[in-house]
Amino acid sequence: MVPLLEVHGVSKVYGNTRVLNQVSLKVEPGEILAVLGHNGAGKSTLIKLISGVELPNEGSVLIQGKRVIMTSPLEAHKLGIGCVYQELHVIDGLTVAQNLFLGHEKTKKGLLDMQAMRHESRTLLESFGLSDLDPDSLGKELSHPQKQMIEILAAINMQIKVLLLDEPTSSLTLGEVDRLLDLMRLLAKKGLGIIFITHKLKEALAVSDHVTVLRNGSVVLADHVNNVHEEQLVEYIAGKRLVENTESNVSAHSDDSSEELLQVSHLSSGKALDASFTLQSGQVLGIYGLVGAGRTDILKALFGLEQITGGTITMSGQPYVPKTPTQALAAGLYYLTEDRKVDGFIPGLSVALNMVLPSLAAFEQNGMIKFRQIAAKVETFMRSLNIQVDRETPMANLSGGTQQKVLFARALLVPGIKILMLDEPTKGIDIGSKTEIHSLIRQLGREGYGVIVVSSEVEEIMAVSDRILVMASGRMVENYFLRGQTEEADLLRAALGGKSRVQSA
Amino acid sequence: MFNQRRVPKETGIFLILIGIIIVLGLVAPAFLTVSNVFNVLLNSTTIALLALGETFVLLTAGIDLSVGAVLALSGVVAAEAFGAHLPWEIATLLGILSGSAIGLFNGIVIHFTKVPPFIATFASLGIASSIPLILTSAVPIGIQNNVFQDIGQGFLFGVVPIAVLILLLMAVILHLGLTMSRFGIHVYATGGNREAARLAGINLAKMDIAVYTISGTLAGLGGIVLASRLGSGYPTAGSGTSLFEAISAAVVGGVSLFGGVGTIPGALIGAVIIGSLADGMNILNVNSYWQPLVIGLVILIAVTIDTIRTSRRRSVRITKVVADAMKPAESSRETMNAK
Ligand SMILES: Nc1ncnc2c1ncn2[C@@H]1O[C@H](COP(=O)(O)OP(=O)(O)OP(=O)(O)O)[C@@H](O)[C@H]1O
Ligand SMILES: [Mg+2]
Repeated sequence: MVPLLEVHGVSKVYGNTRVLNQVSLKVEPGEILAVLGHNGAGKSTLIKLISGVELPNEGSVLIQGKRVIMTSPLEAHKLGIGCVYQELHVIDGLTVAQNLFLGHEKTKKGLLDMQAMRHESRTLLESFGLSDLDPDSLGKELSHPQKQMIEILAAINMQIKVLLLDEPTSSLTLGEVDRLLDLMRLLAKKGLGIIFITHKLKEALAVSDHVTVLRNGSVVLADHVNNVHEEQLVEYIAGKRLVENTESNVSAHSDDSSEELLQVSHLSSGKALDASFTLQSGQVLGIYGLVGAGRTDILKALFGLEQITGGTITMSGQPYVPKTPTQALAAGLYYLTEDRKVDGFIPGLSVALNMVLPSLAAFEQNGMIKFRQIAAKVETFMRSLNIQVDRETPMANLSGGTQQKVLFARALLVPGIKILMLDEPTKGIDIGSKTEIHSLIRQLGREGYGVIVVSSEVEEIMAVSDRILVMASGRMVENYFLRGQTEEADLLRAALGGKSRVQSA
Repeated sequence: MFNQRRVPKETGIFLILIGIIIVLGLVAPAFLTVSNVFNVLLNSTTIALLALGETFVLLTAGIDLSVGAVLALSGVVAAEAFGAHLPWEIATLLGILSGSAIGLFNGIVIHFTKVPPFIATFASLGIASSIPLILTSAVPIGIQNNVFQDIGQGFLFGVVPIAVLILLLMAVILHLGLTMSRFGIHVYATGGNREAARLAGINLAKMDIAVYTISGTLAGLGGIVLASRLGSGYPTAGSGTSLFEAISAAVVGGVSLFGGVGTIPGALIGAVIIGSLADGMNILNVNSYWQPLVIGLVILIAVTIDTIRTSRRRSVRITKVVADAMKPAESSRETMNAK
């Protein structure tokens, strides 16, 4: 059988760096290929080469045995290759049906045939188990995962043969992930070839037929999924055996020196209702819950981004009424957002300037910025966080995981910060760096920061927290004190069931 | 500063300027005399001052349509001040400050009412162009003051126009401000990603108000230079194409209309390109009906060349890959054999 898609020894060079080196792979009809690798391994670049965003410096791409050169995503589309990026492009002001037919609308006598489009949309939605979606609802009424499904179906609707998915699950909750994986299986059954990029090995093992692991731009493993197991994949991705986090389960801080940094009582804001908790210096407080449980709203309220509708906050004993991020930063709070592309960094500015943006004042003398001092400081942090890029590179050119590390460094550079609020801190981060970031969070606790970590990953919350709060539908439903005395299953049950057994802090 | 180790971004547009100068110098030898070169710079001064101010606004992804109208306002305010027998320093300052006031107003309205900059500054264009007409009943007011006259008509050492020195001084100050100060980096950050800038603790109200005030102030200064050259406050000065020339100058010089990209030297070069063309065509006696057409086309060509230049690496790659593709691919032959 002729493979649907064949990539033959492609390489990609940016400036002096070889980002991809002689990479080959193939996808048969009905096959799901998982592409794995560390941050910056070249996964997204590979996708760009296959989808017409970039051209390879050497090597070739073959579709159904024929060599093709795609100089634009549109051309790739015409050749049957569809790509769903992490940033979704569903248009808010158009209906589901219009979004599904965008660019190839059905017409009758020169006018839009809404009737036909609506009808076909409904059939399409039903055939993929999405009959709960109304073809007439507007793009802006959809949730993130719904938009993602619509985008995938829109690609399918254009008769594509190969679907490329770059980290499609990183913003989804457990149930939504399952739904997406089911959809992928269904698509494969209909003969589509799928390339699936993820940092979550369990997903890859669950859904794919073959796995390809990239390391530093080269293929280091390509095999049938039945021939590989998880530990082996970890080793190939990280290039070494990862040491399990064997840190003792005792609380990170020594009680005598710790002070109460934050006291939140009966706080209501956005989706969060009546939240009460305290945070000590040297403590890592995990807030676990499903996406949409109101966890981010608490962080936003504390950072002056969301209107507080009830309750009080005291910081180090003083009443604290956050109004603006500027004020929150001055008070010693830092907020690392979940969506780094949307509100995290300035794409056109360099890594160095992005890293020091909130702390520029510290590098100023007589109104002039001391770029040399910035460079020195930035280099130190890049070394300690293992960020291997040129500090003058524009932030937009970094891989997703590296961007996150730069933002982490940014938080640590702001003088006077006592409280770090980290929203999904390892979203899109590879397994190797993930353990690094987890140890970093633990270390920050030991250094005396108060850290609040919001995460939808049970393993992550368990790995970093001294104390765990569980939220469900806007309310705090559980409050566990001792690190190491909680079971994953307890957390999951609390988050899903939302039982109201609040213990006071 | 942002890319210390790379070629400055202005190189391309600077080469285009050199090209235009060489061509004009060849076809009109009178163009490349010292006095004419300064004359070109002098004629570009007003537009250049507007373009420098506009650059700050464009960098934050805004736009300021009121700068042309401010030219007239500032000149007339200064002329009225002279009429009230105020000393030249005060009259000049009042003229400039009238521009700052319009800018401040723009910034406040845009930030706090969230009216889009295009509409808000179009409204203040109306305000700024009406006030001088109302004040003067549309009659130009002559200014008789030797010091004031020197601002636009005086020369240092008999050759260097004082207005050009003022322009260069402003350009240096603004360039340093934009590249070496915290404020400057905040300007780029605000235009590059407004929400991320806000979360990084940048006070957006301060930024919006500051950039529009800077733009208004420079337009006020431009109005003073213009009034000094004309020897009077003209209530209809700047009502023509000044605004569009200023924005075009900035864009030709590489300032993006989408924010976050651009430099002061670039905007300055852009203004000089437009000034040289106008001057060159006058020397060559090009029919004045044709001049805007030529300037329009040259702006289009200059920006196109620069856009292509910045994405050239990609097109070079395309040609290479296409050439590779002409050779028969082994793998496709294999697959064909497999059939
Ligand atoms: N336009 C560019 N210019 C220069 N370097 C680039 C450019 N785009 C990507 N890179 C570099 O190429 C490397 C591979 O990036 P890529 O985005 O493909 O990684 P990735 O495997 O998708 O990582 P992640 O898991 O973090 O998303 C990175 O080191 C990145 O900095
Ligand atoms: Mg990627």
